[in-house]
Amino acid sequence: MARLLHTKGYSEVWPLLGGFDAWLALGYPVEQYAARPRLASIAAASAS
Amino acid sequence: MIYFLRQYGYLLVFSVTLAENLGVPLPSFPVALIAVALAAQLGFSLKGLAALITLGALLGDGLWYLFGRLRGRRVLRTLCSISLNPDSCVSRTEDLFGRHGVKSLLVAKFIPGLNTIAPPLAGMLGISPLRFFLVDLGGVGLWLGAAFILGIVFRGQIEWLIEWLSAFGKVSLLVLLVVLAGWFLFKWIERRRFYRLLERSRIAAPELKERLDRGEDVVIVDLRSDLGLRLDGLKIRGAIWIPPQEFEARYKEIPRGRPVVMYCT
Repeated sequence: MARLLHTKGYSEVWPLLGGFDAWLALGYPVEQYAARPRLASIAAASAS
Repeated sequence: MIYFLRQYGYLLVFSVTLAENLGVPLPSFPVALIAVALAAQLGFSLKGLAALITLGALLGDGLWYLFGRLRGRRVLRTLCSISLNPDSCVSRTEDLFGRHGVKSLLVAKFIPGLNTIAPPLAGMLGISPLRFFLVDLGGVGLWLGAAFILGIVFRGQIEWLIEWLSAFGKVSLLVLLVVLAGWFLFKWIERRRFYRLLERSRIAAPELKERLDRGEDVVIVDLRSDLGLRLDGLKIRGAIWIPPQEFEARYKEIPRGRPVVMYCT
C-alpha cells in the first residue's frame, strides 16, 4: 500500500515499524475511535 | 615486495579473505585477483589458492552463520548497530532475505553490506547447516570464479603494475598504503549507503513520536481491518482510519504534500 501511494505521487510514505503494538507498548498517545465499537461485533469476532 | 609475497603469499591471501568475511573491510577481491595473476611468477599453485580462498571465506561465513543460529536476532542487532536506526535495519534485512531466501547468499559476496549480514541471517532463520554450506559454497565459487577470470585476463597489466610499483621501493609501499586507505573509505561509504537504504523504508515508533512532538505535519493512516480495531477501540492520536479493503477507493482522503506514516496491528 505504501508502494501504491508512491505511484500515486505521495513522495514520503513510511510504514511504521512494529505497527500499532509498538506504539502502544511505548505508551505514546492514542485515542478512541469516533464511533465506539459495538459489543455485539466483538463477541461475534471472538467467537469465530 | 615480490619477496614478501613469495614468502607469505598463501598466508596473506587466506587471512585477508577470512578477515573480510568476518566483517573487516579489507580488499580480499583485489588480493585474490593479484595472487591469481602473479601465480606463475611467484610459484603459487592455482588449486592451492582456490582452496585457501574458499576455506577462508567459508570459515568466516560459517562463524557468522553459527553466531546467527546460536544468538538469533541479537547478532543482527549488533551488526546493524553501526547504522543510525537499528530497528529498521534489522527488519529491512529480514525483508530482503525473506523475499529472495537463501539465494541471497549466492550473490551476497558481490553486494557491499549484504556480504556480512547474509550468513548470520541464514543461521537466524534456521536454514540447515548443510543447505547453508552448499549455497555459501556456490556463492564463494561465483566470487572466486570472477577473481580467477579477471586475474587471468588482466595478468599482463597486473604484472606490469607490480613491477612498476617494486621499482619505486619504499615509495611503492606508501602508494599501497594510500590505495588501501582509499579502499577502506570506499567500503565504509558503500556500507553506510547500504544501511541507509535499509533504513529508509521504515520508521520506528520513537522517531515518529519525536517528529510529531516537533510539530511536524505528519499524516498517520491506520490500516487495520475493522476486526483489529474493534479489539481495543484505540488508534494513534490523530490517525485517519482506512481499512485495507477500502484502501484503493479511499486513498484520496490522505492529504498530499505531507509525510505519510501507515500502520497496521
